[in-house]
Amino acid sequence: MHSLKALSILNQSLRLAGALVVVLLIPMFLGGCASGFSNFLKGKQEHKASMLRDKRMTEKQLDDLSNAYADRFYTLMLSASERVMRDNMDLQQCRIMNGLRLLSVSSMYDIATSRDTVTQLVNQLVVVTLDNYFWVDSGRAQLIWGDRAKYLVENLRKAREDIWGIAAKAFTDEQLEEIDLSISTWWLKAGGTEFASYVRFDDIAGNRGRALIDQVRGGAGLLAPLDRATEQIQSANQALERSFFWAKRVPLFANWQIEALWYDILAMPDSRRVLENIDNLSQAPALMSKRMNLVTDTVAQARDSAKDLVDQIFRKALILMGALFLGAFIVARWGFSAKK
Amino acid sequence: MKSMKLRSLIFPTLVFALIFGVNAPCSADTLDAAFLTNSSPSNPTSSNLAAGGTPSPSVPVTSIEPTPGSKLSEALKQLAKANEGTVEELARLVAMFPTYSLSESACNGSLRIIGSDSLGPLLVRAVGSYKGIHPDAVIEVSQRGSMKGLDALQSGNCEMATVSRDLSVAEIARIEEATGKRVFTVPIALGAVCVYVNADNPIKGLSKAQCNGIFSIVHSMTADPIIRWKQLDPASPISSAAVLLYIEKKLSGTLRLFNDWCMQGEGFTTINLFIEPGPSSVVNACCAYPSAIGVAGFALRQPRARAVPLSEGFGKPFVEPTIATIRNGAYPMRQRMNIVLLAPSEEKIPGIARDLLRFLLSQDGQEMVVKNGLIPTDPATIPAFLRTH
Repeated sequence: MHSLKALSILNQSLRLAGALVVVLLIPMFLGGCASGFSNFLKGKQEHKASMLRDKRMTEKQLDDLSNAYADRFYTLMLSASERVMRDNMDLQQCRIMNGLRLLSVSSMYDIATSRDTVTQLVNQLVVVTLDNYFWVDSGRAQLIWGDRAKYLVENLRKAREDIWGIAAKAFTDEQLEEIDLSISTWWLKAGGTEFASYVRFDDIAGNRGRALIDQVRGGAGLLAPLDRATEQIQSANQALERSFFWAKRVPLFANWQIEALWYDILAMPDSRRVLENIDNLSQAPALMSKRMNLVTDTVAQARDSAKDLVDQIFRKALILMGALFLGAFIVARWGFSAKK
Repeated sequence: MKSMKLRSLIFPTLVFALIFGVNAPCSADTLDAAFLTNSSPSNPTSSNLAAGGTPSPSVPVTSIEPTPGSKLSEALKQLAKANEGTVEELARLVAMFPTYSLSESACNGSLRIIGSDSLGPLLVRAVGSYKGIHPDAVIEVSQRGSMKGLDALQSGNCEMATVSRDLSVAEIARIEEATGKRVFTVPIALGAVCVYVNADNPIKGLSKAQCNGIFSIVHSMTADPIIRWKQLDPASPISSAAVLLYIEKKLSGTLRLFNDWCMQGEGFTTINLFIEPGPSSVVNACCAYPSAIGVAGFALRQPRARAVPLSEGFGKPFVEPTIATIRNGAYPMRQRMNIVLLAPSEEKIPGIARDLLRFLLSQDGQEMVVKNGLIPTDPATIPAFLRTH
C-alpha cells in the first residue's frame, strides 16, 4: 500500500517535474522561435534591401540594354521595310522606305556606339519619339505608303513602347515626363516638319538636358551612381566593346546603302524618263527587265569602281612604301660605309 | 661629320615612311566607307568611333524625300501647310494683347514659381525671355503639379503657383483663411482636355455617358461597360474590334478634369487599359492603332489622331474642340491655365510678380503661349492691376 502510495507520489512528482519542464521549455522554445523569426525577418529585410540595391541598374547593364535595343530597332525596321517593299512596284515608295531604314538604323547604331551611356539612352528615346512624330503622328507614312504604312506604323510604335520601357529603368517618372515635354515642345517649335533621325537630346533640351543627364549619372535617377575612377575604367573598357559591336553590325545594313544608290539613280530625271515613257501595259515585262538591267549595271559599275579605287590606293601605297624603305636602306648603308 | 648628318636623317625618314605607310590604307578605308555609305567621309556612321563616340550631326546624302515635282512631293507639301490656317487665327488673337513695355518699378528681385506640369514648358521659356530683358531678376520655375503648387503657395514655399484649372470657392477660402492674404488668380492661357481616336475611326462624337461607359470601372451612366466599337457605332469598319484605352501614368490635371466631367470620382476600368509614360504617348497610340482611344490635352493634337466632338448629354449637340469653341466655352472640357499669387492687397503685389504677369499677358508672352500649343486667353480677363503701371 505504502509502496503504491510512494509510486503514486513519484508519478505525481514526475508529472509535476514534466509539467515544469514543459512550462520552462515553452517560453524558451517560443523565445528561440521569436529570435529565429526576428532573425528570419531581419534576414528577409536585408535581402529586400540588397534586392533594392540590386534593382538600381548599373551603367554596364544600361549599356547592354542600349545595344540590345539598337538590334531590336534594326529588326523592327527590317521587318517593316521588307513588308512594305515586298512586291511593291512603286519606285518612290521603295526608295523612301529604303532611305528611312538606312538613316534611322545607322543613326540608332551611331547612338549605341557613342561614348556616354545615359546620353545614349536619352538620344535613342528622342530619335524614336521624333520618328513617331514625323512618320506616324503627322500622317506622312499613310500618305506615302497607303495601306502598306500600317507595318511601319505598328513597328515604330512598338519601338517607342520598348525604349520608354527601358528608360523607365533609369529615369524617374518626373524625369521621363520632363523629357517627354521637352521633345513635344521642341517638335511643336520646329513646326512639325523636320526629319528627326539626327536630332539629339542636346539639340532639344540644351543646358537643362545636360543637367538632367548629370543628375541621373550622379544617382538622382534609378541608375547606380558612378565615381570618377570607375567611370574612366568603364569607359576605356566600353570603347573597345563598342568598336567591336559597331564593326559586327555594319554589314547588316551595308547592302541597304547599295540599294539606296540604285534607287537614287533610278529616281534621276533621265532614268525616270526612260521608265515613264513605257506606258503600255503590254510592255510591263520589258519595263521590269529594263529596270533589272539598270540595277544590275549600276551594281556592276559600282563594284568595279570600288575595286579599282581600292586597288589603285593600295598599289600606290605599296610603291611608295617600297621606295621609302629602299631609300632608307641606301642611306643607312651609305652612312655605314662612310663610317668605315 | 658628313656621315653623322646623313645618319641623323635615317630616323625622320623612317618615321615619315611609317606615318605615310599607315595613312595610305587608312585613307583607302575612309574612301571605301564613303563609297559604301554614299556620303562624305565625315558621315556619322564612320566618324562616330573615330571622334571618340561623339555623334556627328551630318546626315548621309540618301534622301527620304520624294523626287521634287512628283505628286507625292506636292501632297507632302500640302500636309506641312495643313495647320497654316490655325496659325493665322492664333496670330490674330495674339495681336489683340498689349505690347510689353519696360516697367518703371524695380523688376529685380527673386520669385519662386511651383505648379502645373502643363504650364511648365511655357513658364520656363517665358522666364528665360524675361531674364533676357531683366538680367537681375532671379526666377525659379519648378513643375510639380497644380496641387503641390497650391500647397507650396499656402505654406510660403513659393510666391506664385501655376494651376491648370480654376480654383474652387472652397479652395480660395481655405488658402485665404490659412494665410490671411488675398488670393489673386490670373488666367494666362487656355487649353482643353480632348478624347482622341485614330483619324480613320469614323465615330461622329461621344456623349458624357458614353465616355463614362468606356473609361469608368463602375460605368454608372451606362447599363453595360462599352468594350467594343460596335456598341458605339454598329456600322463602323472596326465595329468588332475592342476599344483600347490609353491614359497617362499619373493623375495629371488633364485626367482629373476628364474624371470630374464624366466619371465623378469613379476609377478607370482595367479592361484593355494601357498606361502610357506621358500624354504625347497617348496621342501617338491613337495615331498608330485604329481601335485606340485616349485622353490628352488639346496642345498635343496630331493629324493622325482626331479629337472627337463631345456632348454634355443625350440629345445635346456634339461640340468639336477648336480654338473658337474652347475660347467661347462651348466645348465641355475647357481648361483655364492660371497663375495664383497671394498678397494683402492689389497694391502690395511685388513689383517683379506684377511685371512678369504683364510680360506673360503681352503680345510676346502670348506668342509663347501659342508656341507651346496653348490658346491665348481673352484680353478682357486681364486684371485691372496689370493694365496700369
